[in-house]
Amino acid sequence: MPENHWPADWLRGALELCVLGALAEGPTYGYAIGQRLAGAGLGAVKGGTLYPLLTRLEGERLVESSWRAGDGGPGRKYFTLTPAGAAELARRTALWAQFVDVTRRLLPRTQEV
Amino acid sequence: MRQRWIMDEWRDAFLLEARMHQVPGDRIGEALAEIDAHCADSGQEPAEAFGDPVRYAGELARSAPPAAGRAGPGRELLGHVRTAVATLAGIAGILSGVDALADGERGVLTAGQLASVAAGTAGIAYIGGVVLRPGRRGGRWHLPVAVMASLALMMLPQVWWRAPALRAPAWLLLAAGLCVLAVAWSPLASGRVVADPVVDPRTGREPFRAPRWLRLVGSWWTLPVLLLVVVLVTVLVPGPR
Repeated sequence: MPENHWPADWLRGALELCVLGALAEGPTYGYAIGQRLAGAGLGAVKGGTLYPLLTRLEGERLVESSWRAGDGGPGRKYFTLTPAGAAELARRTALWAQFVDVTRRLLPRTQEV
Repeated sequence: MRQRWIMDEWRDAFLLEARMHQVPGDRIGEALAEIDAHCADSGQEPAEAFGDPVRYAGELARSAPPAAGRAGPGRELLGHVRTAVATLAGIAGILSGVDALADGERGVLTAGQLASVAAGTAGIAYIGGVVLRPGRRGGRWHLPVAVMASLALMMLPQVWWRAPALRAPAWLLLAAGLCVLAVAWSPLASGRVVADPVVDPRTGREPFRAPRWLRLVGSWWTLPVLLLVVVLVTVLVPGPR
């Protein structure tokens, strides 16, 4: 399946979980998170979608942030998963797996895309 | 980083809209720094990476809580309108009182002066409630036209409608005008109105800063000083009687 063709509704449902998943690999900054999601096949996530989502996660104390000086650039804001964020990621990942399992059982068998 | 006075058009539109949504200044500074960093990393322009600035500011407002201790937009507008009424009425009282004292006559407020206060108040309510409302789409001309129209509507009645509407001792008009003005402006002068500056988290400073002369013009005491000048001119320069 070509990139960027996921239905918008699916992306809205999965994006927060995927961002938490990207942060599970270690502290990173907004643009790198976007690259990570695009590289995994989720498609390009615009800054206008990504940063408000990160702000919400920060408001829910699932993520924390700090500014680090850049190499000649304007500096970057690094986001880190908090212990509460890691616990929430584990909970939602398990739930997501159950959800995928349920939907797979409901859908007709298809050939690999 | 060199401090700028005016940012580019996209950032200015974003900042104005975020202010209208009452996003806290430090959160706006954080968002502007995020935009800078993201655009530097991606090589994109803000419009490409973040879309429409008005819509993005709305997104930001929904994702971040409003500034603590601030009234909602409706109550804030009502506060501005109250200050406008008091300011315009206070100035009318002071000028009429001083004029009458200089002439040794009884003070008069004309119908045109009262209409001017009403027109100025309506103008400020329109600008605050319609022109500068969040998500506005009135175009760039809307604000300057609204300001010019409000000023014209304030000036014309004073010239054309000179029938006396209220007579009172000159000292009473002057004292009432001073009191009303003092009450209206005391929150600003006392510093109770928090400035809530936009602060860049990387530098701890404002990412843009108006030149010194503009900051002086925008200070709270500009109005009293201007008023004093007008009063002095009224007293010292004899006009046609």
